[in-house]
Amino acid sequence: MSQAWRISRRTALRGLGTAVALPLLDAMAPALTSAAEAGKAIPTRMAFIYVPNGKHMPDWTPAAVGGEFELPYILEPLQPVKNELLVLSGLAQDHGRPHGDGAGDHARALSSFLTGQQARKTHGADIKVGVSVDQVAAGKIGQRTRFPSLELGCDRGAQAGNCDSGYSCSYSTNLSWRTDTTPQAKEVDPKLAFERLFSGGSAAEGRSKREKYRKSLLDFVLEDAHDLQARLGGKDRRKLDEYLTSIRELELRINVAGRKPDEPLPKYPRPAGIPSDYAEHIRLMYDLLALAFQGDLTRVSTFVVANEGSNRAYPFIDVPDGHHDLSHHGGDPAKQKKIREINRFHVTHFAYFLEKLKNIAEGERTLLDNAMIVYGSGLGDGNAHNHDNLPILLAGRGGATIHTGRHVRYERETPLNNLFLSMLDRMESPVESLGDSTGRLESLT
Amino acid sequence: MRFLDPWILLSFGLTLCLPSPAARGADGDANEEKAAATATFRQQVQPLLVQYCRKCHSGDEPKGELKLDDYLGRAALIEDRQTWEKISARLHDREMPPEDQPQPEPAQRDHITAWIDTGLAKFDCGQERDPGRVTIRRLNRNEYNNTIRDLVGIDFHPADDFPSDDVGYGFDNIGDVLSMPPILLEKYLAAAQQIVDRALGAEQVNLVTGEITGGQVLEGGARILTSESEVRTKVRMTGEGDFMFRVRAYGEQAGSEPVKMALYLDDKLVRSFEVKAVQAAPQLYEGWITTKGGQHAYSIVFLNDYYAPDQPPPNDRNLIVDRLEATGPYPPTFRQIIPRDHTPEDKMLLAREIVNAFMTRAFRRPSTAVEVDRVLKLVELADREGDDFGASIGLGLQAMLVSPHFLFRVELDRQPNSPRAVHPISDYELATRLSYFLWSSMPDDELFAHARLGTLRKGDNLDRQVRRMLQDPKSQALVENFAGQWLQLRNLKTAVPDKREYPDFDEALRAAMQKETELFFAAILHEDRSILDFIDADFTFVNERLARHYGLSGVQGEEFRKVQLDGQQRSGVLTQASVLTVTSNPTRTSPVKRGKWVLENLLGTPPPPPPPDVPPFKEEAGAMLSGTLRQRMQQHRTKADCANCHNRMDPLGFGLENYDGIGAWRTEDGKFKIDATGTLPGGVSFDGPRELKAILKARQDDFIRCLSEKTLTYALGRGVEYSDKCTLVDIAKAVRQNDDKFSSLILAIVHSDPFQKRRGTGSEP
Repeated sequence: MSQAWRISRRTALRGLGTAVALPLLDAMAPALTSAAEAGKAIPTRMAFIYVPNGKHMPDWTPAAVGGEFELPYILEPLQPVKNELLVLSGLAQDHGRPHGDGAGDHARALSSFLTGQQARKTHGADIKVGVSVDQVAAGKIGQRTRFPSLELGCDRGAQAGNCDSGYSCSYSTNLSWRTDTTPQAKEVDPKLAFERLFSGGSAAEGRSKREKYRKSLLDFVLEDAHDLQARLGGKDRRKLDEYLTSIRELELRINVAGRKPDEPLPKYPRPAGIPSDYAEHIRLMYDLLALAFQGDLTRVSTFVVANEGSNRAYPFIDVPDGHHDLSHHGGDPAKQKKIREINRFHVTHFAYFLEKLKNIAEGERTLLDNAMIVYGSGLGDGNAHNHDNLPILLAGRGGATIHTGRHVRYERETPLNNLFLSMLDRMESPVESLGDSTGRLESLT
Repeated sequence: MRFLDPWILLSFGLTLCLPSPAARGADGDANEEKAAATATFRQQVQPLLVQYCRKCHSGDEPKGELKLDDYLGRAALIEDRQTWEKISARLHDREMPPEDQPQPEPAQRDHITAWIDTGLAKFDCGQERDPGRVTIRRLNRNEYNNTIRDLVGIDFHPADDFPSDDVGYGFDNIGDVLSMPPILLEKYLAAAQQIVDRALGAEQVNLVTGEITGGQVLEGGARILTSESEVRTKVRMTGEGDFMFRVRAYGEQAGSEPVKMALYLDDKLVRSFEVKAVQAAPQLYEGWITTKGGQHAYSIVFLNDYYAPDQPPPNDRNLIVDRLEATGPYPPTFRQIIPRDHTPEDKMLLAREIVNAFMTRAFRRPSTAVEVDRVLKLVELADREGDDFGASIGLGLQAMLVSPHFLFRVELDRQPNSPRAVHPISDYELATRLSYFLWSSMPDDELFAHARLGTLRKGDNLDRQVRRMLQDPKSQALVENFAGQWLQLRNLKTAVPDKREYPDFDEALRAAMQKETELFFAAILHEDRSILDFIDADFTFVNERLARHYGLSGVQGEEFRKVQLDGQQRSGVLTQASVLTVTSNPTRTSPVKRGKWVLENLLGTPPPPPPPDVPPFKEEAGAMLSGTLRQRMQQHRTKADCANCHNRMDPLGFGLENYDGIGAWRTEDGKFKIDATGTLPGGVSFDGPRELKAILKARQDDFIRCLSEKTLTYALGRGVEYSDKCTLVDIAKAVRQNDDKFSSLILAIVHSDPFQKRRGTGSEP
């Protein structure tokens, strides 16, 4: 029987979307080729990890400044990577403050965190804040990797009601903003994130046909969207702009993917979905982020561990109360103690992530050496709702350009965005200014 | 006009409405009128505002973010009106000035509010209404799932994998807020493929299992039939349903007619064909049969051999079969989308029919030839690449499922940039607004038929359609999506009552709470009851688990049933465990949250946000342990900064203290006896939930306005604006005139200008 007698499998139709759930095998495939092994110049990566509702600052801020400092209670789990990180005190995100807009510190805390800009106060019409630092880098170097950037989270957006005092829920659930009006939605399901990252590993069979279809399909919708846009006015046009920009980004990504060999599956069990155990959920997301960096699938990422203003309870660490309710502790030591435990719980998982990066060798160095991971919150103390003296960590050496293992205290009101400017320099994406930045951040080297 | 002092402008506008001869003067007297109006305002109203309000509402940190001085300088009149409305409401409810401040005489108070109210009402409600402008709406996750269900006929919730939709104005169907990031477009592409795969049954395995016999084998494996004979094989079918038999063939043509061939299954004719294809371009021939599993004989018969050696060539007619397949069973949707068989010759004609039919439904309006051609180009591409007909059509369907015309609910203006170009939306657009409002899905055949014939607005058709739609099971979407968000039921899923504090709470109870409120809402909807039942009704729905929670006896089993209530402990949504749980903290009740919930969702008078720099409470050590919740919260109300709003919120919440953090009835909280008394601003006192509810019921106008506003927001997919004020007044009037029936609320919205019309972009017509 010749080939001709066999069925024409509809493989051609598979894989049209880049996120298509291909029949991935749970079997152990060869380990992901690391960036280093592939013989490429080792890239620098950056990620921003957000934890909500501020910190219990007395147990966060080290007493001593400089290289000789003790990790306070909340930061203790970071002991194994202490030499790879900086504790940065005194930084402020001024546009978290009202500036005449009244209440809504949670919405502003998250939306200003990576933008350094003031969110427009609106329930929905005309959301606007600014482009976030990760997207600045994604715009400049994103085309070098399969994904310009990767947005992860553990909480879905709000399901009902109002999020924060007259601010659209977009502001308190999105960290990354591609344009000043378009937030980058985040992937919260580890299974879907995995499939999205590693869906390229399909058989070569039908690949050229598939690509042809894919391009034709995107051409088709581009044509449709252009025609439609010409007939619309005002905000409708802007919505179509979002659509068109997304289409173009996908086209670009397909072109990038076309130039690269398919990514083999990582040696990692495929996640089954969102675990009911929150700790497990966080761990999976960190694992996927590490895999994405390791395989150079992206160099820029954001991870919202919990939405700003989250009222999640933490019964598994003996804190059955809601986080947000607790953060308005009113000076009550019992509540502060619980806040401290929540803070430490999150730091424990962050430490797990950093150790993971530290254990991935890249040339003479480690992935952590080649990364810059910011960890922090847009609120200082959850009770005071202050936006200065923020809890900020910077882990990794940015490709041996950062002198880690220190606690640095900056002058009050030093813009957090100054740090971002310095990071963008190291990402080959320098900009003159970003949001309310006033210059590069000193004392990193 | 813009640069006039709004105080003057307002007073001018207001005076025009008063039946004074001066106000009716000719245009030439305008200046005089203005002067008179300004004088009236300056003499009678402004002094009162200055005397009683300005002290707090001025300076760098004006109370409640209302800065009367600064406000005077603002040009945007629309926003000014909204502020005026608030000023009037606060004064009227005696919430302002605060108790500890000098109070205006009752007559003075009435004077100011009457003056503002009359002015506002007259000022705005004319004949010409501004319908507002809805921003183009992307389908949200629920709408996408339901639309796919109704469009393709498969209910498998592809959108559950999409990122969540952002919420604005309390709902997740707001055009302005629904964005389109790249990750979502990726998901749309992936979903389109999954949908098409499921609908058309992709990834089919060839069922031809047996050896193939018959004819002579040519080089390359094809078989030639040179006499009236057949190619045979066996197929093994699993499952039951529609199976497709596919043959790739061509003919060596000769004589007066083309090659004819027939497909047989177990000696039963599947289909016969004229094989006009030639060697240069073999074609696929497909036939269908509905059958059961098991092994069957499958044969292709050459029907019309012709050989005339005495004639000049071509004089020998033969059939060449070069591929033989059987696949299935196909999902029933395959035959719904591809309704008839095709021949290679009429293939593209059929494709055009299919694409046209699908597009008209997917885009919720008639297709255009250009659009159909564009899709057909993709179908032709797949066909050229050698895909079978189903797969080729599948590529076209995928394209339509990611087109902006499908993903967005497009409404067009002839003059998209002229705010004055107010026009009724088309019948198709109206049918679409209706179906997404009441069903969160696309219009059905009946709505489409009315749209096609232009009869949707004829006679009482619209009313009949609305009533039909409300009775349709698809109106469950209104329960899940509207009630789920209005009452914040959706938050119940993520509520985490503390296990130690509430050992009774379990998943069965959580599910039962949700079900009760859904059934309750659905009953009001389906039985077309009074919407006041939401506040107070003598029935609810319980199963055994929930009945135990409520202390009701005689209910057994998991099944929910309607029960009569005596009104002592339960009646209306406010006493339902679902609402009581989502407004509690994990470890205790929250009178503040409950009070806020009542103000926001029942009375429509949300408290302003807390001031930005709330000084933290200095709680004395030990106070937490020794005082009741009420005593602890007393601080809210002793501090002037907090008192105004908390005086509105907290008493409402304390009235519900008989319900614990998961809504169970209690008379004690720990060692403290429950004190469910309260005094609302204005001095009305109550004791316990029954008396509180009586007070709420007496404010039914507020409730009707509140529910109208929420429903209108949901129906339109945009925030309610000042220009909708008159519409809301009309809706409330219609509801009152129709015994407050649920349907009257829906009908009044459907008939309103904002629902029926649209206009170009710009701030004001």
